[in-house]
Amino acid sequence: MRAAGAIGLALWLLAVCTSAAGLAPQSNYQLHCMGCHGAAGKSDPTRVPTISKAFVVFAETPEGRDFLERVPGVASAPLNDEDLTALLNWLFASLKQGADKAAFAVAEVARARRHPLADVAAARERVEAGRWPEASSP
Amino acid sequence: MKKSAWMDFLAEKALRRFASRTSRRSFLAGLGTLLVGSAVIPLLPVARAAGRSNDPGDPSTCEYWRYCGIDGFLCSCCGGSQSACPPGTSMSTITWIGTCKNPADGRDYIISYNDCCGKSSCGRCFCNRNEGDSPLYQPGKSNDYNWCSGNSEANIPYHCSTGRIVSVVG
Amino acid sequence: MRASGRLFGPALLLLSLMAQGAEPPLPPDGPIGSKSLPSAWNRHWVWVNDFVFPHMTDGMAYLIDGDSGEYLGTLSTGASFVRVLLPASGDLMYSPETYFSRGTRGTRTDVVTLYDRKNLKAAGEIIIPPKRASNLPMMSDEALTDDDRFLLIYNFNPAQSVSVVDTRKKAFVGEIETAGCALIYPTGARSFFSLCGDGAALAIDLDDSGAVAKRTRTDPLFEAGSDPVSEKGVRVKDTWYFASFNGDVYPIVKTASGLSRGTKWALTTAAERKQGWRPGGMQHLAVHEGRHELYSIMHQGPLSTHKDPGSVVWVYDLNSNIRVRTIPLKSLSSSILLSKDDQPLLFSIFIDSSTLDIYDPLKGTHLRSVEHVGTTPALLVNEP
Repeated sequence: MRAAGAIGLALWLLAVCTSAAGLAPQSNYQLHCMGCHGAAGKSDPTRVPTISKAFVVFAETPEGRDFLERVPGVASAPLNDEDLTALLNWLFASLKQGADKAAFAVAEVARARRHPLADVAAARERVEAGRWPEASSP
Repeated sequence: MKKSAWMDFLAEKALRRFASRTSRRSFLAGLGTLLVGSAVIPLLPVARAAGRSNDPGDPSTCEYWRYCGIDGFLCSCCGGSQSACPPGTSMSTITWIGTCKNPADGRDYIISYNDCCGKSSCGRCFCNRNEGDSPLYQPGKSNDYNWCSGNSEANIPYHCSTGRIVSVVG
Repeated sequence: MRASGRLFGPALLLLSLMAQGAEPPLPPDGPIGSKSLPSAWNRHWVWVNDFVFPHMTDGMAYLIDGDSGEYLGTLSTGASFVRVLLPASGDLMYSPETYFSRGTRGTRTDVVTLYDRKNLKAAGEIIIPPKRASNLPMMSDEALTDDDRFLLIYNFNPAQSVSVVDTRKKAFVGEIETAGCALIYPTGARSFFSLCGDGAALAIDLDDSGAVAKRTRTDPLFEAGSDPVSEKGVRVKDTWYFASFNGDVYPIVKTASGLSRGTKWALTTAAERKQGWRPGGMQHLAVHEGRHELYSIMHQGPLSTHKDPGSVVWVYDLNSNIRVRTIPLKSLSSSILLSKDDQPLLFSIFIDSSTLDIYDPLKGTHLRSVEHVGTTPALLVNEP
């Protein structure tokens, strides 16, 4: 299953020639996220959202996942839909024991990321309303 | 207006290309122009202990493999190293990430170009290589930002740049 | 030295005695004071903007007369300096600047300093949030709206936003979030766009208070992944021209219905591209609006040389997108600018040299050079 998926992915990559090489999710996290968000999802909390906290909360609701798929850092990452989905699922599983390893679906990520959020702060407030008591902290 | 050789790499690189496709005469004319008002001191490799065999090259030279996307003064020339800041400066926790190939083992490594912050520019060993560098609208891939400005600890002047290994690309 | 003094001393004394008799002595210099600039500015003047990379807390701007080569004056512009901004009318110009309370440390304060155009003195300041972007200077780090009412400043900390300064009220009036999008490209009196990481543009319309009236994110307008455009675009009226690393030109056009992608064209032929010709530099594109021409610094090199200087400028007619002239340069160049008049000058400087070269862009001839201008001159700015 996994091997077939990997082969399919490799063929797809060859065909469309987009992202570098179908890297492991951890490498993609290091290449495209870690610079700001830190190696373990925590950086300077006064300036950068601490995803080790926020991501887990957001990933557990449909509205939160929609936000995560459309927030510009995710939506605009130079990764194809499959690699991006794998990265999101890997991140969720790394940050939370027993997380749903298929919480993010390729089709859903592909659809959502085509519509990146234009006003992130407002969108975040909407998602956080009632869902996340730490709404005011980054 | 005497300057150090802070941008010699870029200048020499451009000059080499300039030379490669023009006659010797016009090359010299170009060289003469370039020399006006600027003391060009060649960036000769400093005779220094070479790196470990699996980490080849001299980290105080621009040609060192980890610097394939760096833009700034090399901390290795400023009292720090390719992976540590000079005394009294703070390392930016926010930075951009690229990849460079290690010629010794042929592997691609993920490199974090953390800046060191808190003193005025070191001014030594300027190095600008732009492999994988993107424009400012792709911040995580741009070596043109001063990464000292994104950090409460290090929201202070830029001093020099490092090239730290994160891991092997997998 | 001493010997010659003994030998020639008496002769020099005699000469000076003879001279004393012939002419009246020079008058005293009068009251102490400074020169001022004339109130009418010359379209052939140029500001050379220097972020002084080896001493980045000590930014500088130098004013040069392109006709005479005369050095007219200096601004001292603090840390992380980008460039001066000149409104079309009035006695002031603007410079976003950063200061630390103890020079290189202490509390950070960001300001827009107002400079008097005639005496080049700081005439006031507007405090802005201490998060203006610090980067290799780009023209689009800051911009005035077309009517000069609002000054917009790109922030990066690393959250991305734009600070809005009302130049009439002389006050900071708000901050616009631009998450995922960078820099400022004005498209009218109340509108600008930022470029986003995926090649889209974020178009912002302002109201008369400087707040966001409308916010639209376009579809991608260029190939951000395979061949990104440099962020060093240039504008003619409603069109911004961006050049990709490989030398394709992507016009972004402001229309009544929003931003749209113009017809892509190329700076190079297939053969030239094969030979490695590509644009590069710090301010590598320039335009002459009256002549409807685009100027591009060109060099030969591989893909990662998008910031390298060039030794030639290629000139394109923007009606036909055809190259009409090439201007060989006397020395390497990373920044170019045209004066806006009918007898234009082409200004050229290389960030690693301190020599400003001035050319006749129509004849393609070198006119003069001004030496010892700054340390790392990155951007050239002239009258609006």
